[in-house]
Amino acid sequence: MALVPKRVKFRKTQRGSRKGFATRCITLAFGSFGLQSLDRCWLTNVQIEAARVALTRNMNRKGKLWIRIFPDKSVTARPPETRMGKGKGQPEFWVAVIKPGTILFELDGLLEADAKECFRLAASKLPMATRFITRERKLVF
Amino acid sequence: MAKRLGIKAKVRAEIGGRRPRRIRSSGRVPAILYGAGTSQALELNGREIAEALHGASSESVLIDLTLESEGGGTTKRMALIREVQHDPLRDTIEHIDFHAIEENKKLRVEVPVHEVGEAVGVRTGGGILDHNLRTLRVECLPKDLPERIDVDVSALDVGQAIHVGEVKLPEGVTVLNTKELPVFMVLLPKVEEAPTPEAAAAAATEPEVIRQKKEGEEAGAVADKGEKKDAGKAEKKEPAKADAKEGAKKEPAKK
Repeated sequence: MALVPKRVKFRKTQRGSRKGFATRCITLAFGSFGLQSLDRCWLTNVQIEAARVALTRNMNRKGKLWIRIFPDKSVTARPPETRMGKGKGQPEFWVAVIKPGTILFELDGLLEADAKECFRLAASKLPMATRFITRERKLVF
Repeated sequence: MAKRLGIKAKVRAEIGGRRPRRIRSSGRVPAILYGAGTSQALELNGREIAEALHGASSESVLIDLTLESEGGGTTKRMALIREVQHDPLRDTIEHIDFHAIEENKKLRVEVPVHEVGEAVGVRTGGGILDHNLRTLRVECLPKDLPERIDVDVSALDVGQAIHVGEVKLPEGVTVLNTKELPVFMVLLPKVEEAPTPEAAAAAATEPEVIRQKKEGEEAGAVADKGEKKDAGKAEKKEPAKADAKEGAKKEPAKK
C-alpha cells in the first residue's frame, strides 16, 4: 500500500518550517521498542516504505509493527529544462516533516536484541541519525 | 504494596519566568505539590530523584516528602508522582508533579500491568502477545497501593484473551476499567499480502481533492472550467509569444 493521502484539501502546500523539536509523537504509545529520530528532515514516502520493508523482512513473521509517521505534505517540482515562471510545479512526491525526538516506528512481540537488529537495518534506509529506545528508559540528570 | 521513597524537597517562593531554567542549571529539578488543599512550588536534588525513579518499577510509588521551608522548618507530606516531564532527546528530568494524598482517603491511580510467563500460543502456536492495556486504573487506600499488577499469561493460546474482569488484584484494590476490555491477547501475526496490479494502479493516482460542501457539484464544475480556461490561456499565450519572438528576429533582416 502506497503511503499517500487518500483525500486532501489542497494539492500543493507551502514549504513550511522545520525548526524546533518534536512535541508530539515523542513517547512510546503502542510497542515496547521504538526508533527515534535525532535529526530534522523531510522523510519521503519511498524512504518510509523502504524502512518498513527492511523491518518486516527481518521480523520473520513475528512481532507487530506500528508506523507513527505519515507523509501528508506534497512536494512539487518543475519539469527539467523549463523556464522560470508559469506557476508552481506539479506534486512530485509526499513527505513527513520529522523533527528531533519524533518516534518513527514501534515494535512489539520481539526480543530486545531482535528488535534492535531490525531497527538497525531500517535505520540504514533513513536519511538521518536515529536511536533505539525502550519503555524502561533511564532518566538522568 | 508500592515502595515508599523518602525525598527531601525545598519550598521555593520564586516562580515563573526564567527561574525554573536557573534551578535546572544549578543541578536541581523544579517540582510542584498539589492536592488536599495545598499548592506549593518545590525544588529537588536532580540526582537523588533520578536515582529514586530508576529504582522504581513504575511512577506509581508513594513518596514521603520532607519539605524544608525558607524559614528552616520542616513538614512531612505523603504524595504520589502524577507526572514526570522529561526531555525526549537527552532524557533529563525537566519537572515533576506530586499529588498530595491522605493516609485514610481512597485514591485513583494508573498501575502498570506486567505479564508473567510465556503464553502457549506464543511458544508453540507462533502467535504474538498483544498488550491491549499497559496500565489499569485502580482505586485503593495508599497502604494497599500495588507497585504493579502481575498477570500470568502462560495458559493463553492463540485467539484467547485475559480481560480486566479476570485479572487477580491484591486485597483492597478495585479496578475502574470496563470489565470486558482485554488486557492481553494472543494473536496470529498478519501476513503481508503482495499488492495486486489494480491496487498498485489505484495507489499511483493522485489523492482526491476535497471541495467545499456548500458549492457542491457546481463548485466542482466551476473549478473544472477554471482549470480548462487556465490551460487554454497558457496554450494561447505560448504561440503568441513565439510569434512575437519570430517577428523580432525577422525585423532586423528587413532593414
